[in-house]
Amino acid sequence: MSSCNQWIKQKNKQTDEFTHISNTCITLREKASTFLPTRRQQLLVQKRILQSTIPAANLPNELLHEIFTYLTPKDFYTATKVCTSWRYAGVYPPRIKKHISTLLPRRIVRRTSDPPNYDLRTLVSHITKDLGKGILPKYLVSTIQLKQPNSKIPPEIYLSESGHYFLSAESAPPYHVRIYCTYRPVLANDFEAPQLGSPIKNSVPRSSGVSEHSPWPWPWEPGSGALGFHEWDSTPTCMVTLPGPCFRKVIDASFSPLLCGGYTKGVDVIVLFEGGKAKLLKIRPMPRGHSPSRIKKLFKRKTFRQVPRWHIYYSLGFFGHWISVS
Amino acid sequence: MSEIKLLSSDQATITVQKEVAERSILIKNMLEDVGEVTEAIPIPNVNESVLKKVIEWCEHHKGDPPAQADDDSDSRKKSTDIDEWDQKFMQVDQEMLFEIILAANYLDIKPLLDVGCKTVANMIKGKSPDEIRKTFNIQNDFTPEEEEQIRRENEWAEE
Repeated sequence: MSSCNQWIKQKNKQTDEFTHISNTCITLREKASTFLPTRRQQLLVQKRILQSTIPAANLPNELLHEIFTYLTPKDFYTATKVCTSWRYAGVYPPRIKKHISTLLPRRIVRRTSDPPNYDLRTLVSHITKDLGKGILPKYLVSTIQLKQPNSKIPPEIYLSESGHYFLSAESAPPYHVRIYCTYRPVLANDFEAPQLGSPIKNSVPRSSGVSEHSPWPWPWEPGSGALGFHEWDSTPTCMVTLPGPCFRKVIDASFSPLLCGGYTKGVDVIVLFEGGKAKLLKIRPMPRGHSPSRIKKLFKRKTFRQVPRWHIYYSLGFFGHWISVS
Repeated sequence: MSEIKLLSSDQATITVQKEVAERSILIKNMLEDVGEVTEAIPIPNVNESVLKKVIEWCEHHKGDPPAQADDDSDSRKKSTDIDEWDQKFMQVDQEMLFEIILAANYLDIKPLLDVGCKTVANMIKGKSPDEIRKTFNIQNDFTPEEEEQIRRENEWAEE
């Protein structure tokens, strides 16, 4: 009995700590409410305290996130508008809590063909910049190619292949670049697309960055491709629809120029999103110093059992680059 | 067939087949680590009624193949289809539904967690935020500023 108790106690320790922090937060909220200057704020805090008794609004982030993975992008987006806790769960996936590991991100291990002129290492390190320590060795990255569409869309707007993303860039310094997403696929030659040009100016971009060089038109200097995303928008706020049938939560994104025949044709957006598709994408985990069988063994060990896998897949146009980072 | 005893948070003892209990990875791991146990295994986060419900599910699914590590694949994520028996099983009040999800998460019963999450996801699908709030009795606790931000996001998404 004592050994069982001890075992369970050990297992519960982490949960208890989490509960303690949650309870402390609620207590602090209650205390804070008495100091709030306006009646409106007091009512809001009371509302949130009341909310904390409703089971649906109080599932742990991790479980809400799990539920959200079954939703279509549209439903997922709707769910994040229900209440603050659901919004928080949708906007900030529990990546830190879920990915406790001591492995440090390392470097590109393998690629199947030479990348174009710009520095792939810079790109990858940029993608993984805010993930830092405490994550598993693999991430899944895919690209969305944004190209200038035909028809009447203003020249500064680029459209993703899937029709879910638009990118607008300023043609004068400091070259602000913004990516917008819609949950309605629009084709490149869709005549509805030009209408989407106007709301962009007043809407909130999904991602934005500043480039050192003019993103377009020519020239984009090779090697300066990766754009810096602001911290506040590097967190995912949406699910991404890729050209293939893959729905994942975005955890980071970056983009780079798409070079064809030496001049800029558009932009490749590299999106880091939740993995777990190793089989489908035929990704071979090859972190430095570990053979695939060693990695398999690692994952079979109890400490790794609960940790989902993340992978990097990087492709540019018809070039394919398989990357494993550990 | 060997049996083990489980002790719920409200101190109720439930006897269950070892094979059934081992649908829970938590219990399975514990039994592997601790070895044979004669006393009741404490399940401090789950009360009797929920534990009985979870055991009912485990008994029905005791013959199912164990969940694979790669079950986190796209095919699983895309489908929200639920087996007929599971659908009936999940026809409980919301409090119980969320308790089952929490228990499945705690006991590490991935297939049950999936069924629970799919059930909730199906309750969300196709609804507006207001309808979802009504369904789950959730209050709109956004500040006017947050609502304004959401409204601006909507402008684009719903354009």
